[in-house]
Amino acid sequence: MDHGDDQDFPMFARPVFLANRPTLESLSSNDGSVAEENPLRSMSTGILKFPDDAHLYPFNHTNLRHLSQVGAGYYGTVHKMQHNESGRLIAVKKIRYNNICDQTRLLKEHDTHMKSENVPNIVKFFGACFSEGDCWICMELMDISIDFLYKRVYSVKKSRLNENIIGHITVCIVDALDYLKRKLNRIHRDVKPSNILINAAGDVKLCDFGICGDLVGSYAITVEAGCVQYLAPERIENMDKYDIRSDVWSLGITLYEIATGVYPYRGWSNQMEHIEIVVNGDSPILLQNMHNLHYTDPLCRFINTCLRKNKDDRPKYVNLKTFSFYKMYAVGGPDIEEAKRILGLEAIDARDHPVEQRA
Amino acid sequence: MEVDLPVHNEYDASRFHQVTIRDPIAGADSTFTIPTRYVNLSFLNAGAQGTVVMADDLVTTQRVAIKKMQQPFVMTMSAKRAYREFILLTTIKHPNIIRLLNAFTPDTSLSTFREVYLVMELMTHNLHEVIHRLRLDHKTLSFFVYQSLCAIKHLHNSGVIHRDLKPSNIVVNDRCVLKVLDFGLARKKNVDTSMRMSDYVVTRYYRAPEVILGLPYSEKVDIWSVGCIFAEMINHTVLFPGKDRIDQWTKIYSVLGTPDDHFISQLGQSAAMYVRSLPRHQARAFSEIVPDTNFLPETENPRVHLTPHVARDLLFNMLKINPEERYSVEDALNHPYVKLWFKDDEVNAPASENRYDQEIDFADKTLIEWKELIFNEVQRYQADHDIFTG
Repeated sequence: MDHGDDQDFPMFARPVFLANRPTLESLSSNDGSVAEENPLRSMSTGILKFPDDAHLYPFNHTNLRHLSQVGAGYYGTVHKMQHNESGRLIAVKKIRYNNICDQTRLLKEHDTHMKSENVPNIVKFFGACFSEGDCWICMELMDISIDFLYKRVYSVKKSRLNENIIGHITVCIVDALDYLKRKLNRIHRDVKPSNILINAAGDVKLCDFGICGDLVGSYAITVEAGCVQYLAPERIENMDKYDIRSDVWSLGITLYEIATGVYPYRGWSNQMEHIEIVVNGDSPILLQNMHNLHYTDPLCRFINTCLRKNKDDRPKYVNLKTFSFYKMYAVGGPDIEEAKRILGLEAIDARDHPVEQRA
Repeated sequence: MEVDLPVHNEYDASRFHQVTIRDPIAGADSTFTIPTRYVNLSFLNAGAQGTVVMADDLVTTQRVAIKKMQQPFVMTMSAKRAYREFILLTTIKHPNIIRLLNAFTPDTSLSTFREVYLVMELMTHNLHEVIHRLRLDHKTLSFFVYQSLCAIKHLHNSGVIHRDLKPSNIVVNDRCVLKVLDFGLARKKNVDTSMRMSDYVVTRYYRAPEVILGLPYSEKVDIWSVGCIFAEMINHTVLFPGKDRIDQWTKIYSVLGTPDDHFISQLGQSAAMYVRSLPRHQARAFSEIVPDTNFLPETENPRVHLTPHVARDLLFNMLKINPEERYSVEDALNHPYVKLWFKDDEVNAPASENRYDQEIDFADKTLIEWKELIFNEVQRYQADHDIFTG
């Protein structure tokens, strides 16, 4: 340290005017953000479109009457609401938004896209608007996520989900994911129990792709509350290497979890250890006898094949559909009807006995 | 499940009034229920933390910022943040930390409690805007770094690690005064962080390597964040823009080089194996990371150490992967690039009393319990302050 310079310090004036600074040339790019305001403004009064109703209902948040909150997550809350004009009950997911322009584009794109599709086994999207710093996404009302349902069945009621129920869920989700890919050319990217919803009729539907997933993804670019538990090994290693087989891995973890009541990786004290185990450790394997429960060979083979470590060894949907486990439950019949009945009862039971949210 | 109440609660119309503000970007309305002293509201910002407006305070004749936190207790993560922020804002005082002027809720009972309002001094710009609009001369650049360091030194002396420093939660005014805006993830020092690390919502770009790799961490995580921000003020682009936590680490070691075996050996076994499995990288020269061309050469002043070389030396020591080798906040404040701004009352301000109870951060609380905690804190503030005319 050159102490001789200390004498200069008291004389050195502090900067007191921020305005007199050269501007970045990139300021010109801000002109684009002005244009972006228009699409967003058009979204502030959205359109609700119900698939079995020819009406287009212009709406904003004042047209929706709050009934109850039905869920909460990192990014937002889910509410049961009633649309005043149609009287229809819907689910409204409120997501805090962080970056206006990206999400406007996504929302506008999906608004058009999804409302034109009658997609099987996927929660229907009815429309969206903005209010109080939240994006309100209006969708089909379901009763519970399978995340809450299976935990109540296994941990609270000390029971299990029988194989016909697992089979029914498997067929519904594989069909939904396959449809997403073939018809909409979309990869889900966030398959996990909390994104699989059940209603009282025992219907199984996938949600949080497209609209919600990309909105959250936009937020997650700068804010991470990552759910790495369901990420495939190749995705952890390199985010760019992603195709439908990464969703197949996530499906495998999900099915393992709802079949056994147990998340397959345990004992890690932080996320880095989890990542190391997934990337470099062995895949989880479902055995015919484990956790004091018995599983059939077709079920074990289906799940274990989804969880092949090497992406190239993992099947895509067309091949998954050739597995005897899938084929057994894809044909419908009394096993499926019974599965839907019991699953519907479990959904109502789990909905009526909510687990209190804890940190 | 508790049924939520209607949006517009009853309020004391003799002392509060309601003003509806249009968010011109989202095209949405937000209703503020505030003491009648606050008038002429206009929109400033809306985002994850709530809606912020400018207003005139008739009592102090100042223009203020009012932040409305809409039901901050509906999610565990936002409840924790709201609780922490409320307590810390009401207790931490320093010229480079935003000052809380008032706080209140119009809701008079726990059962009707929905909204919390924070009134703060108005700062006209956040650093994110400044970085992406203006090129900074050496004086302003070093003065901003100095003030950031004073703020975090005061936090550390008060027993708080910020943990979420980033340009959008640092604000400046037209007189180049800089303030840290919130305490969203603040955590007390001296708490064993190794086994209690949970995944949490934090801006990834500014996260220290020890946090990414699951090591116990100390207040030096904030030095890393200030270093990243410092580089961003020079380059006008994010230094380590990771796409996810793994990519964040990839971005860091690709620039700063693979850490030595001494550092790797401190990692948990799995993390060490993972880091060792990655291809090795040589460190890039800092003259390449923040090149001379990104500074304003006409504003250099070698006589008081305001040169690119001296700036890079400070940056180099703030961005050590190994926190043991990284500058402490005292080391940084003694560096020639910022030392010329030294004032004792800024650098060595007496520690604030910090009432934040660290154990609450780890408590397994229901949302109802969070709601009650937040409500009680607001009531406590209102009992101690005259929110209407004080």
